[in-house]
Amino acid sequence: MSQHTDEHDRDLLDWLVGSEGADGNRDAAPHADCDTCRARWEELQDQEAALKAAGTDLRRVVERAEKLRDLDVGVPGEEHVEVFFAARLKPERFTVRLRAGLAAAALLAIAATLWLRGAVPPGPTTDRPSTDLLGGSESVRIRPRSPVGSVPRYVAFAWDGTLPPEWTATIHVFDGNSGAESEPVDVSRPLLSSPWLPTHARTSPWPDHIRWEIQLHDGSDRVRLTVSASASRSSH
Amino acid sequence: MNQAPETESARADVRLVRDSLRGRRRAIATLVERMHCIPRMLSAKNRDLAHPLTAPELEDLVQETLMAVWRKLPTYDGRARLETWTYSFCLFEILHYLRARSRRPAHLSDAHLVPANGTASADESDHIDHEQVHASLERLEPADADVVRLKHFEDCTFREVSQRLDLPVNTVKTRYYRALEKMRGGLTPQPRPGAKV
Repeated sequence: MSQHTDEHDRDLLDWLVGSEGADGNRDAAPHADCDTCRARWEELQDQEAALKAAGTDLRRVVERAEKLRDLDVGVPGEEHVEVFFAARLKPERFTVRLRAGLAAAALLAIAATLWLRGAVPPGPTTDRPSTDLLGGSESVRIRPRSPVGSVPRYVAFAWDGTLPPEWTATIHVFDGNSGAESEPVDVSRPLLSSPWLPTHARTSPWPDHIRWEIQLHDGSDRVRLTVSASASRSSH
Repeated sequence: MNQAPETESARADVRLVRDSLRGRRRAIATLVERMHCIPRMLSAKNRDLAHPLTAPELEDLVQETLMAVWRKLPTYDGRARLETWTYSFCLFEILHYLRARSRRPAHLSDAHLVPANGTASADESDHIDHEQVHASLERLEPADADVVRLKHFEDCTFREVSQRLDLPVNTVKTRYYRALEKMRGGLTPQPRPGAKV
């Protein structure tokens, strides 16, 4: 029977962390003739087993959850997520960028007023055309890809084109036989990229003929572009 | 004590939560997309437990878990990946519900924790309370808990942990040992009810 020492503690640490490679004997406690070492060694084994099992459990569940997402398998309660956060997380109406823009516009207005009154001499003129809302470097081209025309089911709502940074898209689904001013039958959550994959349970009650719109919102939540397409479902 | 999350993905997750709470539209969209993991993880865990919960019960649990996550969201510090952090809520809610439903409120029969497929990993885990592991990690120094999470939840070697945290390998190993020292007594497997001890 040996006395537990600081050296034993160091050896326990070495045993614990030095065994990832092939070297090191995991099956034997260092200083097996020391009661403290043996008890601590057994406890460390239990702790590592518990942590390993919890890690395995976590990775297994997360992996399965990701598989469900990739396969677009509907699960109970998923519709609550959007409803829950929509009620609690409200997009801010005035972002820093918008506030800066408003401030700059106010300064320009003051400068223009002063210039008109002759208080400020006119600056150099330019023939550069004013930036189009969606022109120049901000050009955004979005084209609905699917569903368009006759389709067996409404599955993926996809489009071609990439959103600028900070922008989001929402899909609005309308009854294709109703007028232009009608209310949408469904609206997606804000999306960062194509496609939107509503569940079958969600699309099932929709009309067999729909018009769907992609609304693009900038970082200030303003609608900057809307494009639409129509589709007809041949089977439920 | 180091309070800042140490990996880039953790910092990104903290920014995501912070920006969502500030109302940044794109962050909200991303967060909501990520939070769809809650119903999926609950369904996956229910399958793991051999389907003790019905679809309406799972729906109720999704709402309970969402509420629990929402209450704690402002305190999310990026110590674990958002999904990993969320999983501890899912696990707590599902086990809490099963305990409450059972006639034995003090302890859920461990038989409920046996994965349905009965694999080797099930043998390892069938008498270990994973919830207790998550709770123990919450009580650790964040810097020490980071090492344990990366090692066991993300299955990293010590060298990979050192690269992820940008720390010397020896520091990582010392933190790991220190963490297990502090978790003493909290993770010892409990014998299954009725099992021979």
